[in-house]
Amino acid sequence: MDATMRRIPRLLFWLTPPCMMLALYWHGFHSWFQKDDFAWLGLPMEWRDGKPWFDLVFRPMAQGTIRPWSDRLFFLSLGSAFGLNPAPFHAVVFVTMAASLALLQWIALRATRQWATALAAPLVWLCSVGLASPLSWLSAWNQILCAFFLLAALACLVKALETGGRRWWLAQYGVFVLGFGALEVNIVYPALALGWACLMDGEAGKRDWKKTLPLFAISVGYAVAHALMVEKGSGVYARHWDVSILKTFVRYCEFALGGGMTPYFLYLPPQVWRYTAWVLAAVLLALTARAWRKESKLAAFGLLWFCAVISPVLPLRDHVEAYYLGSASVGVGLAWAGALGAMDGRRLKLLAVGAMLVHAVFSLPLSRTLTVRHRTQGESARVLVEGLERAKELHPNGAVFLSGVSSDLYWAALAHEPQRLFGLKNVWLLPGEGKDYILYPNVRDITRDVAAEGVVARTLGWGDGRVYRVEETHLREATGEYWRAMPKTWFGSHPRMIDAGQPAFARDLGDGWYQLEGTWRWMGKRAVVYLSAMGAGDWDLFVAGSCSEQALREGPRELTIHVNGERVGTVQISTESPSFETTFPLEGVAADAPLEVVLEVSRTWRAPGDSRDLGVSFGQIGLRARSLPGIP
Amino acid sequence: MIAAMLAVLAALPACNGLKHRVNPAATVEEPGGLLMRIDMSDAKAEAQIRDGFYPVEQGAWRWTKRKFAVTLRPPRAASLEGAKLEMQVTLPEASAALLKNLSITAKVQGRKLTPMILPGAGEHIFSARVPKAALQGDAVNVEFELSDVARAGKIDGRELGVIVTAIWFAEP
Repeated sequence: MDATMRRIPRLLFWLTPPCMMLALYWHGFHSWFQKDDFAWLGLPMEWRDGKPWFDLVFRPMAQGTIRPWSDRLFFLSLGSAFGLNPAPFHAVVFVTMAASLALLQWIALRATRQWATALAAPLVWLCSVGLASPLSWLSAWNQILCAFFLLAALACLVKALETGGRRWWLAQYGVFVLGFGALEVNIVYPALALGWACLMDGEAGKRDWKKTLPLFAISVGYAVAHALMVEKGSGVYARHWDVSILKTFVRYCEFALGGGMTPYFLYLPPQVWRYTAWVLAAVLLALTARAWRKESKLAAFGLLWFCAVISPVLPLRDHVEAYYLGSASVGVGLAWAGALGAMDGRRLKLLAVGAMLVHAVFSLPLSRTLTVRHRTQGESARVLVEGLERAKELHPNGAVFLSGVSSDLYWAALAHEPQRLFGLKNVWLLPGEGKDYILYPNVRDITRDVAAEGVVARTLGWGDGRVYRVEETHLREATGEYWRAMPKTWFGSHPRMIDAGQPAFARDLGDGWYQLEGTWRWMGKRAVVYLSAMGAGDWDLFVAGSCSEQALREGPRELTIHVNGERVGTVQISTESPSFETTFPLEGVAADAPLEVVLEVSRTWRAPGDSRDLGVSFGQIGLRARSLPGIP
Repeated sequence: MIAAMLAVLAALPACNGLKHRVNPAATVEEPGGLLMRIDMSDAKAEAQIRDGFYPVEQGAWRWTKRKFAVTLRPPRAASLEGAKLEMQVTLPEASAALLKNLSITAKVQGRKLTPMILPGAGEHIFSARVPKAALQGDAVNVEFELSDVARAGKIDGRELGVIVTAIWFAEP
């Protein structure tokens, strides 16, 4: 009985952080797939289609990242086994986070020998606004896995310094190297290891700190390989090596301590969270300095952790995201815990506890808001995606036209083409949808997802598609209702953009085209396309097509394009550039008249066993707004 | 920890109960009306096969008599643009030997369409343009008539016309 009673506090000590995690992030563990998840969920499909496993796991993807464990294997294995069921994914997230919390607790306990201090470290980490996304959005799990590898490697180092055992040193190296498969941020671990050896482990550290130096060689090697293999970031992922790094660092410090939003229940001005962050920063620095003077350096190590782990993302000036704090805010937990543990007077301890509580009061409401938002977004995405999946099952070859898709739902799901996962090809928004959407032109051009009126009329009219309205819990078919209200003049209209490789656009093609072949269509020597009038704004003509290399071996060819009789340009097609995507300004073409686009190729060819004279295969042909990324 | 994760990953395929399934409640469909296409393999089409057909064989096709008829729902656009009535028919070698220049005539809502002469044995698509005036409403009667049939006892004990696999309306 006594032994059992003695075990209870210890059990509570270890179980409190995971229980707190469940309580704080309950909504996160119930969120459905969203955004980038759909791209990663495509990996099992690519694997089934015969793409080499090695290529899927190690090929640079998504801004040139190579994260075999956190992105690829996570989605490839669980996606293959469970499909669109997020529960097993969340189970893995929970286990990883619980293990990370336990490691952090263990490290803090080793450093301070104080149970309360060791408990404070994971609890403060759990308050971080940086954990909201990683614990509720599966694509951000990499932050938690990265923290796990960093903490596990550090735990091995602690054991290595304690015992001097070679196997712990080797284990540290092994875990560190594996950590590169979680997130590139792992590169900073050598700084953490050296920092721990110098700051935390007095005699052993002085004796063995040099043993951490080879870690730097590995990081340098990784950095060089990464720079050679991976393309440079562009757009919001472009790196800016200038004074903006400092500004970005300050922003992350503010988010890490003040959360990022003044809680509504405090009835304070909106910017108060920022001033609070600065006050908390001053308190934390003062307590850290005091702790340092008392030879207690855990708080200083915590600050080093934060600075080191956040440093790789500081050049991303235009991509400041709270979830980057997911692994960095381990340092905030260690810093507050270290400061608390080193304070001797009651007042100072109260000051530390009070500051930690203020930190929690400002951070947790935003964490909860973000977590609930992910759950709500995920639920909407589930309704849409499961509805599309069911529509595909009921009407395998039909197109789907959607109404009632909100801007949030579009960006959380439809913009990521989740329908690819079950082979549904033609999903469009109905004409008029999307006008109130928030625009992210660098991410996706919304106009490509809005169906042309003529396409809707013909597809519905000939029974090749259905209209579904997004409702709270399901998609409701509204084909008949929509058809009755639809202007029948749409039948005669042409779209601004056609895809010659899709049957829905067959009526927008004039003379000179051959039958559809898969997702493309060959033209002969001369072919005609009908497009709608341009209307207001500046427009370009976009053409995308290709010619087989076999044909081009006979010699290059020139594609000449006329619009309403005016020559707008030519495309040179050769073995060096067999595929083309190009735009031509439409100047001098009447804006209010329907367009007749005539494509003419300088020479044709005949494939062996084929009697057709083949010109070029298409592809998209149509109008693109030069200065109008939204819905016209 | 890593070993545990790998073990979990290795055991995943066994957890079949957790695999995502299509949710039948994910859409609410409009009440189903008549079909626009009758596939003889489709049990749902049974109610639209009116007369002149023998029972389905091999779950895919039916022999017809001289006259046979179905009810079809015209596509929505057919009332604006007219349509093509199409039928996938097969004339076996044995029948072709008996039925020279076999022609098929169709009527939609009593309007006679252009007949088609089957060129010989094999699989063919009967196709005839239907004016939009014949395609108003949610259901139309489609009647077919063959110029000749194989009398009972010539091929088997039944009077046999052609083999039909599917009948539908298409874009003109």
